[in-house]
Amino acid sequence: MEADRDLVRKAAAMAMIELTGEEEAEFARDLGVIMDYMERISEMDTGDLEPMEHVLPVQNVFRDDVPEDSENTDELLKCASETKDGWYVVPSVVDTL
Amino acid sequence: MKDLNLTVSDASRLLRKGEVSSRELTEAALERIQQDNGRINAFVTVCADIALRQADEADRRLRSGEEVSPLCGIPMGIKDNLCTRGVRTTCASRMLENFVPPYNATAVERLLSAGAVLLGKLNMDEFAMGSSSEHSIFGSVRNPWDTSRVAGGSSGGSAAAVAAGLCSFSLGSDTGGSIRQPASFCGVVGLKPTYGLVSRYGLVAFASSLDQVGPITRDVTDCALVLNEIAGHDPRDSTSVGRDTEDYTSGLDRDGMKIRVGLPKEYFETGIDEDVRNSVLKAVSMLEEAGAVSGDVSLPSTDNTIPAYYLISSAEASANLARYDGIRYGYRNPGARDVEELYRMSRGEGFGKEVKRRVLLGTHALSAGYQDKLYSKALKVRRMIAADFAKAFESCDVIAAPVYPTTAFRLGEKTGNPLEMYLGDIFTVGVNLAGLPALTVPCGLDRKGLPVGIQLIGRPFSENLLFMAGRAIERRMGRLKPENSGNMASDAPAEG
Amino acid sequence: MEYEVMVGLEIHAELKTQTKMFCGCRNEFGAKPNTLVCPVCLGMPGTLPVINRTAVEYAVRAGLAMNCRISSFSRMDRKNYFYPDMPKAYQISQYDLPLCRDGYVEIYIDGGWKKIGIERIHLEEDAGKLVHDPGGKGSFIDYNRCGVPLIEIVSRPDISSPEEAGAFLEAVKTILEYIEVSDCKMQEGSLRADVNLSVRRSGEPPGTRTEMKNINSIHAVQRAVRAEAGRQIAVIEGGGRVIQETRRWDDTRGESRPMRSKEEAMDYRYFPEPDLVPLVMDRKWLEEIRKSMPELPASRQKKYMESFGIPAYDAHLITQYKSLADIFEEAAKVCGNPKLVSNWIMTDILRRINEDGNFLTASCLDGQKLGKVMAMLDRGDISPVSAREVLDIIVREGGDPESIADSMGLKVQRDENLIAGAVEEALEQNPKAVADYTSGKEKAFGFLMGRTMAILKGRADPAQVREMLKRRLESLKE
Repeated sequence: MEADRDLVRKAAAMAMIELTGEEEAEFARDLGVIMDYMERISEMDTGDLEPMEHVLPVQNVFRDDVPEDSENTDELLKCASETKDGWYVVPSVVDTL
Repeated sequence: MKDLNLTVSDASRLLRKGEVSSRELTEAALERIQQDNGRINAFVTVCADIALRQADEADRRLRSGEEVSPLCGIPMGIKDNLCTRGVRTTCASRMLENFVPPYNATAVERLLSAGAVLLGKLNMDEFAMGSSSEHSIFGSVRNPWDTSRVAGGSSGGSAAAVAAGLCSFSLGSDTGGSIRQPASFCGVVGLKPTYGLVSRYGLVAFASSLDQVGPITRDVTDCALVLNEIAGHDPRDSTSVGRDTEDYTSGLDRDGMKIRVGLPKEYFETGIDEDVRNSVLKAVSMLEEAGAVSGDVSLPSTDNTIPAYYLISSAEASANLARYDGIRYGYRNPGARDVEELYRMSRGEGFGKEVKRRVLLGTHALSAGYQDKLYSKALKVRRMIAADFAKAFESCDVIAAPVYPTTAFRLGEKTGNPLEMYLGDIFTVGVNLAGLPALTVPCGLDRKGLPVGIQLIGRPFSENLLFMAGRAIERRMGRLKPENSGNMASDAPAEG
Repeated sequence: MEYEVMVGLEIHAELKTQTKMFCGCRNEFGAKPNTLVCPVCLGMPGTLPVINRTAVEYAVRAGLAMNCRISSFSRMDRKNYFYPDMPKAYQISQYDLPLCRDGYVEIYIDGGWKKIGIERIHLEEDAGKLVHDPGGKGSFIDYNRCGVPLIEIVSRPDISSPEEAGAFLEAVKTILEYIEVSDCKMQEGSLRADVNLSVRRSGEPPGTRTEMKNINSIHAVQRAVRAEAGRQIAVIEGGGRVIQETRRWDDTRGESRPMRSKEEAMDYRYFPEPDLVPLVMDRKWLEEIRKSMPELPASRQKKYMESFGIPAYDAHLITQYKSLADIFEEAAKVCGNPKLVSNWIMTDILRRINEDGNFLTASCLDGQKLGKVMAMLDRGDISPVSAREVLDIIVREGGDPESIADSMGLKVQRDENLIAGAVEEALEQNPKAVADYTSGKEKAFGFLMGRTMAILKGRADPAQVREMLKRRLESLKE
């Protein structure tokens, strides 16, 4: 149970999602049950099979280096709830990088 | 008022003959939505002004004698995770409750260019995560056949709207069964196309390697007509395939197909509802009547499809949903004092429970120390599952299977138990993992009078064959008619 | 106690494609904020990336120019982390299957060539620009730069001094300019360097590494290397242990400070990008790219030293700028005297470049014209002073060097009549000097030389003038 709560806390921190104490407990329960079931997959013998990231046998899809200007960058900016003089705005950033 | 509740083909025929106008069709549909949507909660946004304007434009094109698509003037609904320019696209989430995209999804763009009329946006499970359309900020979608039951998910609104005659056709999306299962629960036709056949540009991403956009319609011919319009290469989607377009309506009524139908024994061994089993097997016998030969095939990895699916889809989803932070669009927590708080609070408040559950699961599956044995392992199992299907297709041309172990369950019945909800997807997720096409066609009613659908799975890009098989069943089946819904489309006489 | 310093550089260079890495927005510097953006690079819902073919070709060029193996199969991966300048909260980059691997760059240091290993070069997208409100009330974001194609060049820790670090960075910069994939304007941020550094006593295993990010001038890199090596050595000598951390280099203060550390190292949860398909580099494509590559600086430098006998220092300086090397080669061909041209470049042209940073792009001087001027100088048709004057005009307006020299009367006079006339005039104007000379005062000759040259405005071959003056004066004696 504690391990499940720990898993939830770590994942929530990495995924930047704030959980209430209640949610944390609930998800710990849920994910505990779910993970028990899903983890069985790690026992499977997959021999020397390679991971299958794509189902399509496609490669080398490109676009040409030709400009396509957006007609409406104002409209794009308007989708944000807070902007200033053409800039997007965030509260203060503490440098982590 | 004339009953203008028509299939795409019928409406198209009448529009061309000038016997009806798009405006009339659209007004009638808007009227029906007004009257009936409260009962089933399929539409979350209705854009009447836009619809009427588009209808008038369609009428102008029809009258002008220019060559038009069969979809010109036909009223449609679009699942709310497909971007529609100028019309709110919410994904049934607080996170995007007020998001108005300044662009169309490619599939939508193609339908609008063809002259189809946008009635509005359809309810769903939040961010397409769910199998019941109960996880929505707009409330659950209710099954038109029995409003105490779910319409299925995540494209519940899309299926319910077509079943209730609120629109002639709709678009849904399918990542693990989200078109097929609601289509089955609502007694309509739904297609999940081969991965890469329909562009994903503008479909709000859930799981990039699994998502596909597809039509939900009243009959097979309609489905082929819509697919004709939306299928084909899109340079804006690197995973869309550059195939020559084909006419999916050709040869649909050809009978006497010598196809081999495979029945996966692992599917029929599990706990399926007896009525579901019988209806599916009855439909298979109809295929045999039409000239098909059936036999058993084996999909040994069936049990592993659920863990593989949930680990892969949640992992991809956790990355695809990381962009939702309120900075450029979407819900933004107003009081955050620094940017980290902004992220955490906006996302904590903007996402619903099921979404959070999956994002946490997916984040965990990708994290250091776990990625190899969870996510990477799941990708290896995926290859096994795809190989299973490929092997099965050595001895058959179409795989026939149930869509879901039961018919539509009651509202609230499964929401308390996420794992149980996930396990129901056992017949559908394998198809997405392997990238195959699958068509759902109604094949009967259970003893409660609820629809059952049969799933027809094919090799990549074999949609035409699936339509033929589906049509063969449909001709012998007739249209399903519920006891108590006056709004369902009228029966077509059984053709033999 | 002898310490060895091990330095690796990670260089990020913006590719000068027309458009961004995954969308058709223009790749330009200096536009109004958030005007070179679209739904794709803003990470809006439902949008998808599509790879810019030219960016791939530029990255391959860079790999070939740095002697790398080009992977026949590579792919893009998602690097997941949250920061406001990254709209998707993941950067599309390359993790375990980069495009280029196992190369090297040669630097000329301490009189010889040294190879610095290149671990890998990979493609990725740039982030937007975050600007902090000086009032401290928040930050502003401009996504114009977001999605611009970058290559990340990772060196092996073969660099062992600040000088080598500077030389390496300069060599990479020059190579990228030569192959025309980046304009490398460090002051505009199109080239940035991270420094990884550790120290150890000779014979011991490598020490703990620190990282300093986003240093944006060659001198700052050198200063940072020097300071950090010193700091680590001081820590060790003081009995402490170097902590593995990321530090911010403050060039004005000349010191680095640790950045806010997190309890755990960042977990980027890399996984293959499902929205993109793999990159397969086949032989045919690779050959096409290889054929389109211009000659590289180190090879040109060697050629100048070996074939033209140009000193190493000069050859190195000339090859620093591709356009300058082009001018040199052309001029040397036209004039036939490479050494003369190179000396001239080292003095006059480099001065012009130092005075005006835009000289090479803005001036009207080209190799042909410089070659003609040098040819005139070589023949003795003009003096060095005159050469400079002619070049002043050509730099400003262009034109034909011979015509300019003629019209300005700069050409050396060889016409005997003209010189004879000047001699006569000098003698006429200075009878006392003549008298002094004929009575045996040799010094007067020099004076008369001066007067004659002055009349000729210096435009005469002194030897010829001397000879004619002497003959005339001798004839007077008789």
